[in-house]
Amino acid sequence: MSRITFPFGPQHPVLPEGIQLSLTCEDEKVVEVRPVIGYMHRGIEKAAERNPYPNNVFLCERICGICSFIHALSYCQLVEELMKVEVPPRARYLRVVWSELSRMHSHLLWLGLLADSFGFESLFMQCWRARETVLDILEMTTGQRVIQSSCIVGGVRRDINADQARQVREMLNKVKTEIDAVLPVFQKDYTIKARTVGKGVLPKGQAWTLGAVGPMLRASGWAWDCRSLGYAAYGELGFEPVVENGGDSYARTMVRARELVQSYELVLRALDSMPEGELAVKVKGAPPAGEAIMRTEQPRGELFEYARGNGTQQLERLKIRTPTFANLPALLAMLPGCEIADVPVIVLSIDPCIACTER
Amino acid sequence: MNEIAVDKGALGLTVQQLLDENCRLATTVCLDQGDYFEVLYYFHRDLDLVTLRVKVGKDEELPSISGLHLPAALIENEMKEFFGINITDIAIDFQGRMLLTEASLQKPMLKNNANRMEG
Repeated sequence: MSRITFPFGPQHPVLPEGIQLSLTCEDEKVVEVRPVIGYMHRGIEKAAERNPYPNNVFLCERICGICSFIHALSYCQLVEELMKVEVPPRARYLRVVWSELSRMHSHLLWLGLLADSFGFESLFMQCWRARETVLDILEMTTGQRVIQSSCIVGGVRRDINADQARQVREMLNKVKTEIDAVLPVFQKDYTIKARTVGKGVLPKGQAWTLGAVGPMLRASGWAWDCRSLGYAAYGELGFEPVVENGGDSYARTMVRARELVQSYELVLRALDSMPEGELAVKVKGAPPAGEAIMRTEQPRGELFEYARGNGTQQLERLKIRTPTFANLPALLAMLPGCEIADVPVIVLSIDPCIACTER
Repeated sequence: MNEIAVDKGALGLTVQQLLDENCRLATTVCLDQGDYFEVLYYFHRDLDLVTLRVKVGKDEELPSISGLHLPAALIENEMKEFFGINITDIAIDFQGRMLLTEASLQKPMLKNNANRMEG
């Protein structure tokens, strides 16, 4: 049978950002895939070597507009590890609140995009309407909807007072009502199941050996989540990873759907158990000569950061490995054998973030 | 976290041993140390990490581990592109054009490229 190779992307309705997959097909079946990336590379690791280390918080949170807060958090925790800084307990809890609100709006965004990818426009709108309320909470508590700028090396720069905490609970309960209305549709709707069940299957063994992280890995049966490491206040909040066993696009949808509810509960638990106290400690001096690594759980999976200090205000090296970078080999393994019509949903099912990937 | 200093000639064997223990590559970090590169390979062992530290002269070759572990291919391409480290036999070799274009500053992460970035 003759083969044809054609580009999927970099501009495509299911791709919010630029990435190309060069698909080789026989008839309607994909037989080979090659990624073509580089449309969004910004040289952030190089730029980070030139800034005084506190300024890199603002650089890192601009790696991506969806998981902005956790990028800032990871960098702050990385430098705190390097400089042996102990963050006040209240700041650790506030970091969890904003991290989980970020995960909620990211997963709601993704669920909406998934619905949109097969033309379920009313479901798309309902997901994004719920997401707006989460963004409103972020705006109310940090002053910003997208780039929160609330994390600093040594703690956080804003507090959530009792009145705001009451408002957050009320707004989150409204979000929960909206989530409860849409999640059964994702679980049971015939069309959604027809487009996702058995599509882009990633078996458990392959998910591990191909380096998959985040909901990709957990949908293939792995209880593997960096929040289990207990960073920030996760160790005190009774966190357990969400796991599904199907390994297909439906299982990945269910992991994100269940994590949405889990994040809602984590925010409430963090607000309820947040201790009183300082928001930040004063960090003096420069990062010493030495190395540190930090791993956090982004909505898309493990974010891995490495820093090397040299005793000056500038880091000698900052390395950032984002979750979509780790998930690309698994995507390339899932596509061969699928129908061309299923490519958009399978690509979307990894929740690709290209701005993160290319930095 | 376990750390093992490895000679580049023994890299493949050590990586294979880790893969046999159900480890997998998390990422690599390349450091420009003046007259040599230092490459750190971070492997997941469940939620823990194992680190391999390899030193490579700037005019030497470093064998790819992507033949043993395919997910290494992308990160090896990135190191090759950003630092000019001569990694040989990468399973999917983008020939220096994965993230950079012909018009880009080449080997941008080398320390002696810092001044050009200022311009």
